[in-house]
Amino acid sequence: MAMYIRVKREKTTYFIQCDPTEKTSDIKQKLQALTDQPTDKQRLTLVSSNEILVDSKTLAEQKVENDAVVALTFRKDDDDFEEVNIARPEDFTSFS
Amino acid sequence: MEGTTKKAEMVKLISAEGFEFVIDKQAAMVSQTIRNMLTSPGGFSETQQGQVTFPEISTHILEKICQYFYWSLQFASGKETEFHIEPEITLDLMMAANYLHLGRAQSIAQDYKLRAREQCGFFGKASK
Amino acid sequence: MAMDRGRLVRMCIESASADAGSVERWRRQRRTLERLPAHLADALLRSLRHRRLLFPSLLEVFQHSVEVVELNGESSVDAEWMVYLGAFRHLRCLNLADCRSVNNSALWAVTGMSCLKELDLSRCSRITDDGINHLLSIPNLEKLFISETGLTTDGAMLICSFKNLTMLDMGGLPVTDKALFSLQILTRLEYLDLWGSKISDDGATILKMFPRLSFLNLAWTNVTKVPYIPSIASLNMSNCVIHSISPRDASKHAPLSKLLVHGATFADIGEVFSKLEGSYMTFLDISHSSIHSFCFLDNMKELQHLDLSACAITDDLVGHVAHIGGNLRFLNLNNTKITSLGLPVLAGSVNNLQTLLLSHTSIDDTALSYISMLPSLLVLDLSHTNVKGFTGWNREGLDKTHSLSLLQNLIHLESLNLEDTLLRDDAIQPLSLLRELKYLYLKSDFLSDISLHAVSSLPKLEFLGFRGGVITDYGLLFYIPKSMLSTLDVRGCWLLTNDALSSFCKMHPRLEVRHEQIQMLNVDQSPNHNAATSSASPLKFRQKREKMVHSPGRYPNVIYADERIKYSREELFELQLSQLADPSLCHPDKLPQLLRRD
Repeated sequence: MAMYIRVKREKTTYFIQCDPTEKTSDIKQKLQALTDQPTDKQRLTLVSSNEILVDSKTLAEQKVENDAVVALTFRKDDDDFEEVNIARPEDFTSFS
Repeated sequence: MEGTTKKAEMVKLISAEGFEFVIDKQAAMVSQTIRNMLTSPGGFSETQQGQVTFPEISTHILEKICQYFYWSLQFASGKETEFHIEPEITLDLMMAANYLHLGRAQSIAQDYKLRAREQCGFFGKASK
Repeated sequence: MAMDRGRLVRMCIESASADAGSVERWRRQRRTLERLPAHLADALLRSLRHRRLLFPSLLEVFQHSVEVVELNGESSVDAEWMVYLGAFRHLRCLNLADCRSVNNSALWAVTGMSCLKELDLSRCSRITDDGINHLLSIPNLEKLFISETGLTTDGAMLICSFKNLTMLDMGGLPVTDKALFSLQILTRLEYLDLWGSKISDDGATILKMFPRLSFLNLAWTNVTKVPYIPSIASLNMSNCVIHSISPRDASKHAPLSKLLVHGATFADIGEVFSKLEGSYMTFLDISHSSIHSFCFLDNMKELQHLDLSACAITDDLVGHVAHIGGNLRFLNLNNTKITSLGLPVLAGSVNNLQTLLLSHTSIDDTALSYISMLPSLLVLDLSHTNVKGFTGWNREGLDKTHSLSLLQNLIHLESLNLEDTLLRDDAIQPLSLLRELKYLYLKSDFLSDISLHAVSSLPKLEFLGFRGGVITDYGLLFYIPKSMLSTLDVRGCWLLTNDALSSFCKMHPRLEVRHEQIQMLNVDQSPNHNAATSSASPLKFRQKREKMVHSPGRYPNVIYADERIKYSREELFELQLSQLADPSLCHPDKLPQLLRRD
């Protein structure tokens, strides 16, 4: 295994094995299998830089490294993408 | 190109706060406990749905555990990077690792014994 | 992925005990600390101690979790530490051996600890009879070690209150016959150590009242007759005058399997051994004893460990050893009159031998061809012998062949001692063929850089002793240790300079380097000594150094005794304790040779 990235949306994190030479579209293919969302309805954003990943570019070209956190958003009915939404565990801690 | 990502090849680990981590089965099997859950015949109901809930393990710790699984696979394939553990989480991580059979205290005791072995030689010498 | 087991817990403990700063970052997590499983808490505490990060108030965080506390050898442990330890609710095992500052009042803190089952106070000399009074409220104590404390005979008589004792070490205490009589209600005793006590033959008769007693140490006592003890398996009568072991009229033979009679004098050796069923014996130490006839060995076919060092064994008598050699794993012939002529007798009969010690004998290179026929050998000591490294030596230097190359037949050999032999640089090269070697000890005025580089390729070497050799700065800096090497001992290598040693240490930070100059460097770095060293001329250094070469053994104690010596001491005792299950190994002289060097 060359590397992995953490793809996050709301309360879910997908650990995706990948290679620096893979393109963003390849990652979306993998996510389609897991989320049942077609690739054209996915958007990936590198969290550290807030850059939206381009389908035709490789991970290496876009400085996506091992263990990087990437936000996943879906296209809404009105064709816009949702806002990046990664839930924080602090908001769900029960203060028993 | 890396292996295909199919739902069947993935498992879902759920933290105390209900956060979900979808990871490769191969990575999850680094844990003896999870391996037993996933391979025991007819055993856990979790197995069918491919998900395991850990009500005792917080989200931060469970994510760190998952990162460890992948680090461990990388390490086994010869990629020697450091796995950094912040002192703040060591206690909780240690307990989770213990529960997931990623650790046995005996091996630590053995380390010390090995070190003691060699040093005794020196003592024997000096005392004469 | 079995190899992954243990790694993450170990990494967590390393991170938690990395330095004082890391400790501060977790020590206030009280709720987590309370839930910590005992074995993790024990391991964390042990790691903190080894990193010198433990202090009394930090102990508080472990009071709900820890079951085992080992502080043996820590001279800083005093009443303040004990107050915190007294609050450890689940404490099962407390080791305070060699804690010099622990006194009677400090012991007060452990009163009433109902979980405590094991307490080691060995060599805490400030503990006296009053201290034992504090312990009387610990009803469940099963193992108590109080050797060489300040107890008197009266204190020894208090011990009978601990009805559940299975192990009792009262070595070096003035236990009299009367005190021993008072202990006879301790019928659960399995292990009793009374070395150096005042027991006589009268008191010894009471020993048959302990039905479960399997380990007994009566070394350095006046006991001459050991009564029939039903369960005895291991007996130490070293340095005693021995008349009989088990009474003459005993209908049953003693089922003794381990006997230590180091330095003992026998009234009638044949008589003593005729009463023992030799076929049970697996471990026999008769070193330094008065024995000069070895016929009694002949029926000890199960013998695995035989120590004959400094005995009157000779080449003519070694046949007795060969006769029963089939099961032997350990054979100590140090300081005997064995020569190379005795080894053909042994070779071929001691095929399972793992340890062979021939130090301080007059064997030479011709012995090596026979030693190389012992296929299981792990540990070989040839120090202080006439081994030169060559055979077939004649006046012209022709026909000489490397004899050490024979050792490559020993494919399991892990430890080899060749200190103070006649080896020179040209003989060393074959050692590089010993691929399994972990410990190599060399010490010679004649070995130089050439030899150091010759052994540098040994892949599994963990310890390299190269003492007193002619290593140059250049030779050291161009020496590349393999990654397994953890210790390089170059003490007495007088050519090495400060600069070379410190650059070498910097180049190899994980390697422990032992040298007199390094100890001085450490001293120099401490602020208290700055004034002294700034005025020290190189000449002074040189003088010091020469003095050291002539008095080995004394200087390290003085200069850096506080850390390293103490560590090895405490760890030695730890090791001894860990071998309590195998009581015959408790005697320091009985440590495996791997761990001990003379």
